[in-house]
Amino acid sequence: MDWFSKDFWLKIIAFVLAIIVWAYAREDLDNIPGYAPQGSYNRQIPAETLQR
Amino acid sequence: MVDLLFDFRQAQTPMQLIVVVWKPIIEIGIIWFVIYKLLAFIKGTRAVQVLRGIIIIAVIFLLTQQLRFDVINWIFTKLFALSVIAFLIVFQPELRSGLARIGREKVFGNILTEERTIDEVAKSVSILARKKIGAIIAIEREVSLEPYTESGVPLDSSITSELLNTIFMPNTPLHDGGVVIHGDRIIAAGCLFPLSQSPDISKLLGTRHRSAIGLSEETDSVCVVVSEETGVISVANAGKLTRDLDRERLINHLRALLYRPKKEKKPHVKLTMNHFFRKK
Repeated sequence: MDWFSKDFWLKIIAFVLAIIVWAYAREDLDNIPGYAPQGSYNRQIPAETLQR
Repeated sequence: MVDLLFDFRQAQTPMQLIVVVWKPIIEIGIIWFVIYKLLAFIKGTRAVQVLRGIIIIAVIFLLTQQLRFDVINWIFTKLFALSVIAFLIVFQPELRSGLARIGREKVFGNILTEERTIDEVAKSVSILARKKIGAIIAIEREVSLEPYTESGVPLDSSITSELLNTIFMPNTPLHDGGVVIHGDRIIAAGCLFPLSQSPDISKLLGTRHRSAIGLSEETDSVCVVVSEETGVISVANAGKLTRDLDRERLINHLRALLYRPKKEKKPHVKLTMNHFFRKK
């Protein structure tokens, strides 16, 4: 509780900024053609990638 | 919002669902921690004013984008490239001390300062304080103080309170600088230390205190300062100054910061077991 009350507003601002930054990064990554997050279960390899 | 955070389409089994839910939470948690640390670091520096300026410019930039002031927008876009270089120049001291702070995070934490060093420093400092002779002594820990010793006169001598008192005696060539101590050796005297840029430092404190705080901000060293005007003994550590210390309190403070006795060996498992069963 003591940890939370110290710099309370700074933590709230940091949390809001963190969500904004994450959302922007996520959106940007999703717009990359052929991209799927590393380790995702339905990851699709782009057709032009050489497959062995 | 939930769809943005969690892509449930990826999850086909309960295990996959756990991964889908936890991954963004961990990612946001890491970003939150980094941003919070950054804001907490900026809060205590003069960078706050600059940050306010950047926020105002960012708001104007967003407004011009929304109102489609293309020329103004073009100028802002071109200025952005320059502002990155300007940012590096303006925040150079903050960036340097911030990176140094990350770099000195303790991994092994084995600080071994001789008990004798603490005693000799405390003895010398209490005499200097009584006579109101200004002094600044930096005790090296894990981060090397070599860049600062280069600005002074190399000594490499065994530490004694008499030698320290002689160094700081007014009107002598070495008195107007800092002494650097490593282990139980005086490495150099007459050294120049970096001045702290923190706006929180009291205006009553002089250059000596400011440089002690500056050095403790940039390295993990502990700086002992004696005020020339008041004879007050202070200790700077991690950018913070502890003031009004007498000899006893100084020794205790330095011991807490510097001296770590060798860890006692853990008792053998067999002995611990015997002890445990005997107790029962």
